Amino acid sequence: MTWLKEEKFYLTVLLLLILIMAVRTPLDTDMWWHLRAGEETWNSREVYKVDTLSYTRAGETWINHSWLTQVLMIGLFKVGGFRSLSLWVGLTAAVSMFFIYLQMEGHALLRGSVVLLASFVISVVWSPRPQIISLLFFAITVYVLFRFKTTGKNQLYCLAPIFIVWSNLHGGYILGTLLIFSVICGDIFDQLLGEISEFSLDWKDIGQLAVWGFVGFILAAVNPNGINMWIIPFQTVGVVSLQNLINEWASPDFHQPIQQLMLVLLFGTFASVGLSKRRFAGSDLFGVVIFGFMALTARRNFGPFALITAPVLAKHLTDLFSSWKNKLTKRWRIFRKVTEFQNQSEKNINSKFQSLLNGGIVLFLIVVAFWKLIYVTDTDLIIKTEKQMFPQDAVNWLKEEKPSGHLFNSYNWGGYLTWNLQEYPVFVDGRTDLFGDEIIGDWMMVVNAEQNWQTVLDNWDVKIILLEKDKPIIKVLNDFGWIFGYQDEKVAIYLKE
Amino acid sequence: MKNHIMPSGIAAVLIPRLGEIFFIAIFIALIGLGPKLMNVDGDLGRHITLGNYIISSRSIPIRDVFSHNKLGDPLTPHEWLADVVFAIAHRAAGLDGIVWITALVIGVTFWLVYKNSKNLSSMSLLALAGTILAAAASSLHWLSRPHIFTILFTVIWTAELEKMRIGIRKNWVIFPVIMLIWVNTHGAFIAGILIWTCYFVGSILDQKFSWQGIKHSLGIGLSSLLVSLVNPDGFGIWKTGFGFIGNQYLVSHTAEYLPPDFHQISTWPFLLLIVISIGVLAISNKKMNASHILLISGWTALALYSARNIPLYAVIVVPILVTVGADYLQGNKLKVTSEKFIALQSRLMDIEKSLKGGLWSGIVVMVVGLLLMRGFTLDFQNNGNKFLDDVFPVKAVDWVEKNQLPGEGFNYFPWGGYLLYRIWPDKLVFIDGQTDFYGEELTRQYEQVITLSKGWEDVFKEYQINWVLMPAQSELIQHLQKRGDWHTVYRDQISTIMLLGSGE
Repeated sequence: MTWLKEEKFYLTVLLLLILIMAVRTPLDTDMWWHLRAGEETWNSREVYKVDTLSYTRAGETWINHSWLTQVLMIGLFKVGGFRSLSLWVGLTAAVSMFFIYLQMEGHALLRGSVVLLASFVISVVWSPRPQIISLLFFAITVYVLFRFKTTGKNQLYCLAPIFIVWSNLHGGYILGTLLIFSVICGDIFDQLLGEISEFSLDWKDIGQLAVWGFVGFILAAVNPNGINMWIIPFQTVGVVSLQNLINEWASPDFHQPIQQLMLVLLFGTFASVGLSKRRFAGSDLFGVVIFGFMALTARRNFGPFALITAPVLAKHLTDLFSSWKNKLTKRWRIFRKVTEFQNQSEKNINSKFQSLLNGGIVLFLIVVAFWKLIYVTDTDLIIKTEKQMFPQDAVNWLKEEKPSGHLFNSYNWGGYLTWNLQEYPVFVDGRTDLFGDEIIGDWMMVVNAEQNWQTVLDNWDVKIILLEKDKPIIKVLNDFGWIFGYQDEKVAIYLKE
Repeated sequence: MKNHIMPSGIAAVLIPRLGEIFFIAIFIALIGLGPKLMNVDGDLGRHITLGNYIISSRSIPIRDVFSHNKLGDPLTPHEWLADVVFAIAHRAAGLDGIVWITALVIGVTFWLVYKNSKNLSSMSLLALAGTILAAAASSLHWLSRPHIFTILFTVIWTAELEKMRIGIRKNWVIFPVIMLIWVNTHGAFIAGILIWTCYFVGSILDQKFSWQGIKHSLGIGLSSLLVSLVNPDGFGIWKTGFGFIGNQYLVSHTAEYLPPDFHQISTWPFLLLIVISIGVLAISNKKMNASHILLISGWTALALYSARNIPLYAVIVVPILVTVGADYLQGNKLKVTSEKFIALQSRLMDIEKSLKGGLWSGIVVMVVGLLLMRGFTLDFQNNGNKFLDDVFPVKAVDWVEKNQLPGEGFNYFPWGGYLLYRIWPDKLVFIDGQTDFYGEELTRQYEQVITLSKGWEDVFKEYQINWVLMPAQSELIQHLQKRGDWHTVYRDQISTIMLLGSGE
C-alpha cells in the first residue's frame, strides 16, 4: 500500500473532498426539461428535435445539442433516481479536477490547495445538467494539449473522438475550439517575441495543432443536428434576453461570498505571475485572457476560467515559494533550523503509523462521501427542497382543478412544469435558444405589465397564469378580469374569467 | 541623427504641449456634458445645501439638520470640504459653477495622470494613449460629486509614493498634509492608506528596504493614519466608512457599489485595461517590482468588487502599465517597430521640453468660466446646466413652493438631495442619498413602504407622514390613489404629491 504514504494519498484525499463537495441535492431549474427531452428520445428511439413541450414553439425544429447527455440523465434517473444523478455530478466534477491536478507543478499540498480553490470557484455551476459534461471534456482537452506541449508526444488525434462525443453531449464543445485557439495564439505570440522555452511549440507543432483543432470543429457536425452544431453556440450567445433573465449569463456579482473566490483566484494569479521570476507563457496568457473575459461577462464561464487558471497559478506559486524559501533560509538562521527540523522529522516518521493514519483518513472520507450522498438524496429532503424551489403545491392544485386553456408560466419554473405537469404545454422554459428574443421579449412584457401585455396573452389565447406572486403583473390582474385561483407563499395562479 | 529646429521665444509660449491639448479636450468635453454630470443621481443637491449651510453658519454640522426622522442624530460630515467648494462655485455661478469646478478637477486629474506617466516612461505618446484609456474607463463615474476629489488625491498620492520608492523624494512631510485635506474632502481617503500598504508590503517583498527606508515608509503610514483623525468626527469617520462597507444590505442597495456589468459598453475600457495588465505581466519578464504588482492585482480585485473603484484603479494602474510598456519597447523586442517609435518619441520629447505650456489651458479655463458667469449656455444640447424636469420633480417642487405642505413627508430616495436643494429648511426629507447616515433600519423601512410590504402603514404612523412625493407610476402612489384616506394634490408625468385625508 505504498500509495498511502506518497503523493497519491494527497490526490485521493483531494478527489474525495471534491466528491463530497459536488454531491448535492440534484435539483436545478433546467434539469427537468433535460429529463423530459431525454425521456422523449428514449421512448421514441429517435433524437428529440421537434418541440412538443411548449405551445409557443410547438412543431418547430429545435437544435437539441445535449441529446446524448439527456439520454444518459434519464437512464441514470430510471436506474437510481435522484441518487444516481447526484453521484454522476460528483464523479464528473472529481474527474474534471483530476485532469487539472495531473498537469500541475509543485508540492502536492500546494497543488491540492489550488485545485480546491478552483473547485470552489467552479462549484457554482456543478449541477445535474449537460454543462457539467462540457467541463469534463474541457479538462480532458486541456490535458491532451498539456501532454502535447510538455512531453512532445503527438496525441492530437485524440481530439477527433473527443470533439465527436463532446458535440453530441453538449453545445459547449466550442470551448475546446477556443482553448486550441488560445494555445495557438499564445505560441505564435512567443515565437514572434522570440521567447521560446522548452515547452513552446515550434511552427510545425502550431500547424499540426491548428489542423487538428479545425478537424475537431468540423467533426462537431457528426451529430443528429448536423452542421447546425456549428451555429448553436453563436445562436445561444446572440439571445439578448439571456443577460437580463438568467443569472448565469450575467456578469459576476462579487458581493456574493461564493463568487468572491473567483476574485481570489484572479488576484492570486496576477500577484503570483507578477512576483515569480518565471515567464508568463504565451499560451497561459491567452488562456487566462480569453477565458477570463468570458468569465467576467457571464458567470457560467467560471468553470473553464478556473480550469485554465489553476495550473498557471500553481506553476507560478511553486516558483515564488521556492525563491522565497531560498532567500529566507540564506538570510535568517531560524528558517534554516526550521527546514532542517522538517527534513529530520520526515525521516523519523514511523512509516507503519503513517500508513495507518492515512488509511484511516481515506476511509473516513469515503464514509463521509457515502453518508452525504445518502443524506442529500433522501426522499424527504428532495421533497422539501423541491417544495422550496418549485411550485409543487400549485401544480397539484392545477392537477386537481384541471382548468382549461393555455398556461402562461414563470421562466424559472418552465422546465419543472414540462416534467411535472405534462398535460399543460408551457409558454416558455429554459431552452432560450429555441424561444429566442421574440418569445422571451413577449414573456417579459407580460410579467412586467408593460404596454400591450394583454395583446400578448390574447394572441396566445392564455387562460391560466402561474407566476411568482411578487411579479408586477400579479398586482394588476384583478383589475383586468382575471380571477384569483390559488396562492401560497411564493406562487399565484390566476384564471381568465 | 538630424538636428531639429526647436521652438523658442514666443513660439515656445504659444505652442501647447501634448498634455495641455489633452487637458483642454477633457475640460471642454465635460463642459459640453454639464447637464449629464449633475442629473445621474440626486446627491449634488445635498452637497450644495450642506456646503451653503457650513458657509452661512460658519460651523460644520455633526448632527443631522436635513431629515425629520433622524433630526439631531450624530452625523459624520466626511465630505464637508468638498461641499464647501461646491457651494462656493454655486454661489459664484449657480449650477454652471458646479459644472466648471467638476470639469476643472477631472481635467487636472487626468493631466496629472498623463504627466506622471510621461515622466516615468519618457514616452509622451504612450502616456497619452494610456491616459485616454484611463479617462475612458473612469468616465462611467464622472459626476458632480465629492468623489472626484478622491480621484485627484489618488493620483497625487500615488505619484508621491512612487517618487519615494524610486528615491526622487526624500522628505515625507507632504503625505500627512495631503491626507489632512483628503480626509476632510471625501470618505474614500482610505484608498490612500491601501495604496501606501501596497508600497510598504511591496518594498518588503522586494527586500530592497534599508532601515532608513522602513522608517520613512512607516512615517508616511503612521502620520497619515494619525492625521486622518483630524476631522470634525475624529475616529468616527473610520467607523462610518467601515460600518457602511461592512453592511451587506446597504452596499447591495447602493448602485455605485455594485460590481461592474460587463454587458454595458461603459465598462469595456476597464475590461481592456485588465487585458492589457495581464499582457504587461507577460511581457514584463522579471522587471516589475512587488509594489506595482500588488497595486495592479489588488486594485483589479477592488474594481471588480465595486464599480466605483474603477476610476481609482485606472489612475493608479495606467502609469505603471505605461512605464512597463515603455521599458519593453526600449528593450527592442519588436525591433523595427520599436526603433521607429522610440525615434519619434525622442523628437517629441525634445520638442515638449522646449515648450513653456500652460497659456492655453489657463485661457480656456478662464474664458469658459467667464462665459458661464455671463449666462452663456455651453453644453452640447444648448439647454443650460440645470436639474432636468424628466429626472427630478422640478414642477412638483415649483408647486410646493407656492403651496404649503402640512407636517412631515415621505419622499422618493433619489430625489432627497434635490428636495433639500429646493425646499430645505422649510421642509425636511424622509431620506436622501446619504445612506451611511440613514443606516440599514431606516433604509429597510423605506423599502418596506415603496414595495407595500407588510407593515408599511406602521412606518407612516411611526413618522407621522402627512404627504408623499413619489414617482407617478410607483406602486405606492397607485395604491394610495385607490384608497379613500389619501388624495392627490399635484400630478405630472414624473411625480405625484398626495396628502393624508380624503380631501373633501
